[in-house]
Amino acid sequence: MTEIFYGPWRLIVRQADPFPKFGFRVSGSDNANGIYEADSSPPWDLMVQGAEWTVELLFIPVNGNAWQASEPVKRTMGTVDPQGLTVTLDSHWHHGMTLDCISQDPTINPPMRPNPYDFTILARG
Amino acid sequence: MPKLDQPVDADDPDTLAGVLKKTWSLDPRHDGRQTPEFGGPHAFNTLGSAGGQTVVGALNTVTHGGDFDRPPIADSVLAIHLVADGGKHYWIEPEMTPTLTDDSSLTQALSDLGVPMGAADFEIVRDSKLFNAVLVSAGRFGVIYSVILEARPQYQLYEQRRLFEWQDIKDQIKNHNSDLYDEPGPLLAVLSGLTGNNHFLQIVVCLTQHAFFSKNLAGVTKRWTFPISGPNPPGRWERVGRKLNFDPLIQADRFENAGNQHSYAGDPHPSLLDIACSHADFLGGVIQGVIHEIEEFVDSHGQLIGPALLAMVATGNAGLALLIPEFLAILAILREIVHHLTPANRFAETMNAIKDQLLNPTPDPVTHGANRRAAGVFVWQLICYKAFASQQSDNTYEAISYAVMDQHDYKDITCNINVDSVEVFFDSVDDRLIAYIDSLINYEKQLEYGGRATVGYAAIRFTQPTRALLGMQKWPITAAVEVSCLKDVSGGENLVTYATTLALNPNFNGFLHWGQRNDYKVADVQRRYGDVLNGMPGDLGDWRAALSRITDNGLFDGFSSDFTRRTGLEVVQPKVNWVTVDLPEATLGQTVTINWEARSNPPGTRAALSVTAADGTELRLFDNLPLLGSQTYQIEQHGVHHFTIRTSYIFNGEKRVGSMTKDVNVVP
Repeated sequence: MTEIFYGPWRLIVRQADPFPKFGFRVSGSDNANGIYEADSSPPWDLMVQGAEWTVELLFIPVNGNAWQASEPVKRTMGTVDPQGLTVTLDSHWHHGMTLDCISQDPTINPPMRPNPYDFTILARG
Repeated sequence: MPKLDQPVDADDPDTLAGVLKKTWSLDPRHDGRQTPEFGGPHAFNTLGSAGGQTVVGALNTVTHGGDFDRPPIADSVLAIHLVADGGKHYWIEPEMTPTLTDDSSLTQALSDLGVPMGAADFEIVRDSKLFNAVLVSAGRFGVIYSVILEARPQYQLYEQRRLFEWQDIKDQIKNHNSDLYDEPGPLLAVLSGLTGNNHFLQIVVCLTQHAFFSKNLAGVTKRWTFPISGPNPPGRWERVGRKLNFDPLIQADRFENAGNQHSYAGDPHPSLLDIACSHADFLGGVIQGVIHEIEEFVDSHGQLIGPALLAMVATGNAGLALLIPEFLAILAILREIVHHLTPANRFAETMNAIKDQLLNPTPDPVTHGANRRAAGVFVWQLICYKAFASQQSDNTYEAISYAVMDQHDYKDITCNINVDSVEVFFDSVDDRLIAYIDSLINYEKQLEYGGRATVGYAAIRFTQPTRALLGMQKWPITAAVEVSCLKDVSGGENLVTYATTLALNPNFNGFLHWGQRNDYKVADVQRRYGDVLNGMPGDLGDWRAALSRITDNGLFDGFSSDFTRRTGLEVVQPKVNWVTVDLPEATLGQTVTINWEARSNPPGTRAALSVTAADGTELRLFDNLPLLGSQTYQIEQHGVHHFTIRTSYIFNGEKRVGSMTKDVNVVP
């Protein structure tokens, strides 16, 4: 299943099973079209630009030699400290792979500041 | 006009019940019997929570409440009397069997009212697509002169509000079997006649955080339907009152308490929010509470921690105690503010003054203001926490339906008048909804990290899909997020602008309310609603086709406005009505005359005549022709000649073309 994105996003492979082989395909972007193996070292940290582009999670099955679409994919969207607006794509194959897509558009994901305060008290027993 | 809610019986011909009895008791489909449900007062099935709107204004923008088991108000409309540009009257109903109205009776009734009945003046249309287009149309089709609304026997509502934390309930929103949507009424209410589970849900989220930037308060309101309790149900007197004189301005009777009272919240006294919006006294109480808890904390050297203050912190390094010297300075500021508060102070202005004093201190030369700013942000959060907790505190009451559903405070002189807001619609099971709210919370958090803040909230209400083509309620349960801020508190409008930017961004693809701040451009509307002309089949295409029918394909543009042109609620496709050639066959040297008519187009449409040979070669182009015209052409070669009238119209930088062709066969 392809997931559609708009504008600049940063793609980071958070985790991936070593077996079978996992990866993802970027299509329709201005700068980063292609297939990326998830177990590459160091893990992919990819900036993708483009008005409208897609990501598809892939795997190569046991005894296979060609990339296939990984189905189903769980898509969650939320704000995560410290990076902010993040779409997470999870493959459900065994542990599969997890790809974090972090918005790089400051109009929807303003740069995050560190918390400068300390509103804490000592634990009370 | 008869009134929906009047405690009189169906024998009074001036009441809705009386009209229905007179009309329907003679209907052969009911064997001459009056159906008993037509007796007595009637009510809307649902309402938006804001008053101060006309009924047509509310329904024509798909205004909605939070009743997730029923569609919005627009779907209560059964027929529309539209007066279009050019003065033609349309009576529009959806297709149904039997029809809602009888043609001869309807024609007679409207004729009696002075509506001209010529074929060019009046038309009865039973077409669901046209009806669903006019239903929500931003005024583009014309003036909605009157509507027939579906009403139901008057009823009461039981409302319950409870305070939660957003982080504890947000994951339940996707689950339509959760307690949010499926809670039986309280036992006492059930014993008094309440039946069924809640059918209304509203979640109001405070965007200012507590618990050391980890939690947000959320007020959850639910409603249950309750049988009417006797002739004087609670809320009727408070929201209606005695009947006064007939007012020719509104062509109706005035009522003593209609449109001039606080919202009804279960007792004769206005709610805290109403008080807050009427004047700033309420805030004085909140600040006094904050002063008390900070004084305790300071005087005990950080040992005594009141309940609200405890809600603001996390356990850790005791960093809060380091702010005690700064709290002393802030206490003096707060006492001064309270001392000068008068009933004439407006809530938002006072909040802005507090914010300025807490968050814009003169930097200390030693600490560069870091601790002072931290203490200011902390106390600001504490004030917001206590104010929101007061406004969304636990509450239950029951009242007549409109007293519960119309929560507009007609005595408000600040909050609603000086509010900026945008409302954005999502599928309630789409995680964009939660991400949208969390992004707003994050926006406010980032402001506070930088020593700034605003006052805002996000209210989520739920509704079923609408039949209106341009309705925002597209999913089985749609969630509407209203983001509001107090304009008088600086920075609030930036929050609403950010909320709008998020909604318009295609990664969120939120649908904007037609009746609130709406920054749509043509591409935004086409992306969301779809038009086959743009390669995306959808409701916008059907809506534009309906507009074409009523406006003679855009020729009548009296109701076109800056807004409808900016949003693409226009006819965009030109056409040609007819083309004729005087000779179906011709010989070399003969002159053919081509006539055409293409006046049914938006102003600015251009026409051209193209003469092409059988192989497609263009032999001649006549440009800049009138929309009604005639052109001669002398035949110079053998073979079939195609005479094509092309109309072209440029809208939003995009050129669209309509055409019609007639052929002439040239023989030796």
